Amino acid sequence: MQPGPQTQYQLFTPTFFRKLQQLRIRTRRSFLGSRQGQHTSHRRGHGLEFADYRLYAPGDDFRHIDWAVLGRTDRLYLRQFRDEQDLNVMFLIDASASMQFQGKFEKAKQLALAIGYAALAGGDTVTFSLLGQRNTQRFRGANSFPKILAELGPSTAQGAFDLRAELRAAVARHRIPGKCFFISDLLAPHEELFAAIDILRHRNFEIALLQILSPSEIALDGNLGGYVAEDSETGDRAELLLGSSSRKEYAALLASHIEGVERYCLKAGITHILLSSEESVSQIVLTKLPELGVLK
Amino acid sequence: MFGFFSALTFSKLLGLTGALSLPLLVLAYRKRIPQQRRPVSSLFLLRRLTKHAAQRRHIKLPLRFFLEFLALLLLTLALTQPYWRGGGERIALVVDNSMSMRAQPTGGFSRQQEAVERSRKFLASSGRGNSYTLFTSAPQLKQIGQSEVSTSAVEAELAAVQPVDSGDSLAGEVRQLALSGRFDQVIVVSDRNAELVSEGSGNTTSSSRTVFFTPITVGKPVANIGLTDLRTEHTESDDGSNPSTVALATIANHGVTPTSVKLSVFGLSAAQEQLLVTKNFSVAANKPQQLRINLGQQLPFKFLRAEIAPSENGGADSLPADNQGWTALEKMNQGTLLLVTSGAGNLLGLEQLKHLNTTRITPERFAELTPEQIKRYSLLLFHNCAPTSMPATPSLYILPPTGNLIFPVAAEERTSQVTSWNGEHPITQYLRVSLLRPAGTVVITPPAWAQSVINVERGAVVVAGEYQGVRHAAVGFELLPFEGGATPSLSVLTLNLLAWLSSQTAAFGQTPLTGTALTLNTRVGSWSVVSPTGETAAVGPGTPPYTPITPGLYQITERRAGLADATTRAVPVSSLPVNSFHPSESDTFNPQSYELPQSIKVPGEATGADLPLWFALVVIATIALAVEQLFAAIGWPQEA
Repeated sequence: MQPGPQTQYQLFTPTFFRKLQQLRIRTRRSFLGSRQGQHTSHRRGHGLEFADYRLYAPGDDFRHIDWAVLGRTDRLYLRQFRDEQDLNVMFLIDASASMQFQGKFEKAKQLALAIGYAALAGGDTVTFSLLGQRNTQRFRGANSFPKILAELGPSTAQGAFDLRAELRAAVARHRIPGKCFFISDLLAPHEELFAAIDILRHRNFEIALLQILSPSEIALDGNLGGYVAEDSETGDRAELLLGSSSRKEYAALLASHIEGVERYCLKAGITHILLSSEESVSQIVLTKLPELGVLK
Repeated sequence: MFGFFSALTFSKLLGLTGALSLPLLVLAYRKRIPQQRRPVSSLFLLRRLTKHAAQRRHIKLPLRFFLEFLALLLLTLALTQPYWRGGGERIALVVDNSMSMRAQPTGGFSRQQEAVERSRKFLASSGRGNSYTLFTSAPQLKQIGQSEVSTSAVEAELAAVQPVDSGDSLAGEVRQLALSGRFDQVIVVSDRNAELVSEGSGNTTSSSRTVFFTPITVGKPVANIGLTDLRTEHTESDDGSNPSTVALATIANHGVTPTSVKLSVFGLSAAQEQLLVTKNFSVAANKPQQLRINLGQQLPFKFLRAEIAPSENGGADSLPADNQGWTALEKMNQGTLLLVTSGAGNLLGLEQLKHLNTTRITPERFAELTPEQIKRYSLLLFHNCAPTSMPATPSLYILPPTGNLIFPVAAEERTSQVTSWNGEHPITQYLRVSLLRPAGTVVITPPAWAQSVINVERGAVVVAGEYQGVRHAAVGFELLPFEGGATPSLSVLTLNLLAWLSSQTAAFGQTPLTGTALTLNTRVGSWSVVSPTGETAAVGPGTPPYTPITPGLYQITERRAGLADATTRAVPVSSLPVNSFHPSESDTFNPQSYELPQSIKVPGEATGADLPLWFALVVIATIALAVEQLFAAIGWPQEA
């Protein structure tokens, strides 16, 4: 049963908002922003973080002259500071039909909304892409949250899409790389997944890969017996005769698949987080993600 | 447990074709199970899992499947009509008790005793759990005691088995016994050698079982002398004087050396037996010899008994039971003969028959005679004519006219060659039938109560039979005038016909043998038979034929219903000699053999002693289906 906007509204209580406001998107690298923000960039600017010295040139703001260096060197040097800019945060939400099962898509949306709010509260620029469906505009400021909620809330996961094409289209909308949260069940061949994610890497996005699986995908529960299984995305059918002895085999297959993803992420410097659709969003956002260094 | 399944037998294995439905049921469920469609998020991992599942052929079939499978399986088994045999093999033990089993070497056991002993040894060595039924073979196969009894019970019955003085039909009856389907094995204990032959099948169906035969041969060749035939012959001079009776005894010596045999002939009357003559003869080995003893004339006896024994210093006689014989003295009939023929004239040579007082009348005059007048004659002879109704006196018809109602004439022949004749009929005895050259023949159609005796190409020319207890005969060619020795064949035939028509043993046939049923006409009345041992039996409509076992003189009384007053009256008691002349039984020296199949296939039918299981299987199958339907109705158990 997928939670509707009502549930989403229930999640976002004033208390939750206050907690989200304490969080910031954490990045391992410096990214250029489009505006002043709270993320230190490698650009020289008016931030608080000292960056370098340079010789004084007429017209420079003499308030930045480092008098201690003048006393030691009899030369006038200016202190330069890193500019603090906003972060371009991109949420890529898998909106294919497979995400519709057992609340995965709703969980994905809630996560994106919660993290997005934290980013907005931190002055970052946020965009959402429902892969296979549409891309939202850029949002800034926490006041834009209701608008985001209204746009994303009613959406449902359906159909199938070419992941590479979708990601390519999504990154094409961003001149400046930043932080990318890719939320999906990742139930696709490794080659296909990695080739698509490489598109994000090649555009220098810092990627956090949030893999959401339903309980039946994790432990094969509810999928035992004999039946014709129909793939929700492709419509393919397969005759299945699964017994209790199939659980072990499935667990091994799933572990192998996840292990492959983790190896790739480790090599690529991508943060991979495995989540269940039954886990609490607040728990994930407020506890798990900060522990994993995705938020701070 | 193995014993239980070994006793399980299926009558109709064709019913196993019902098992074809079982894989169909499995197929239906396999098809049914995957038909339930279920959307899944992604087949990405599940599809990879399916291959493994297919390799392991993991199928989860619901409980209902097993109930339906069980019901189908039970119904298939019920179609095979299984039955549980009462445990062990059903064995028929056939002990030969024919006359030859009495044979006993000097100082040794008889063959019958040896057969009983060998049977006991077989029973002792036979497996446990078997059931036995005892049979004796002579004169017909006969069950002794209860069916399918234990070893101890059949041993007790064996002690009572005694040989009889008759032959048997061992081979044929043993085979019929196996075909009855009552037994799994037939043991035959006999002094004859069994020639085992392979036999395919009896009356088999698609489901059949095999009955096995096991022969046990007892006895060793022993020498024996036996009386194999006894009859009398009456001789007289050409002019009819010096009548004399000659006893003809055929003796067989089964051995390797000639044997000196003492032949004694006794005259029998109602109250006494008198030794008439005793003579010694030397009888060659393995060559039956007919001995003639002239008994003289005017014997005051009705019957003769002959007895043989080895003379002093004679050879061995292992079987005394075949050393006696009885015969009736042909009565010198002093009756009257009424010759009915057209025109006036002589008696057509019949005056030469001194024992007959012949009178000649015309057919027109015969028609005027009253029944009482006709009864005064003991014989009637119709020459080229026939009465309009069947006379109550024995009658001979020579060349009956076309259209007569008694012996219909079928066709006429100018000359005919005799093609076949009944060699057993008294009319053809002492007659070289093949030398007959009847001319001007008419072919006679035998009425229902008569049979043909001599035939030509187109049919019977001599017909004889008995109508309401009175004998009649017809000849389709000229026998008269009677010329005696000038035409010996025709004369012998004429004398045979007259003798047969007026013979004292007319109602019973010619010297029957032990083990052969007497031909007593029960259509007109009933008979009372007293055996030489004093046992009385009643024979009438609906009773089985009487089969004499003991050789000797039987007293037979006929009770014939009176037509006038519908009461029964007894006719005078007649004596009938019965002999045990069985050459194959007497030959205890040369091995006798019989054909016995090694095995025979019989339909696998359940017998009364077996427990049919099909009904129980149907009941259980029905219960299984009902339970399955109940589960379906309540939706239990829930399938994954």
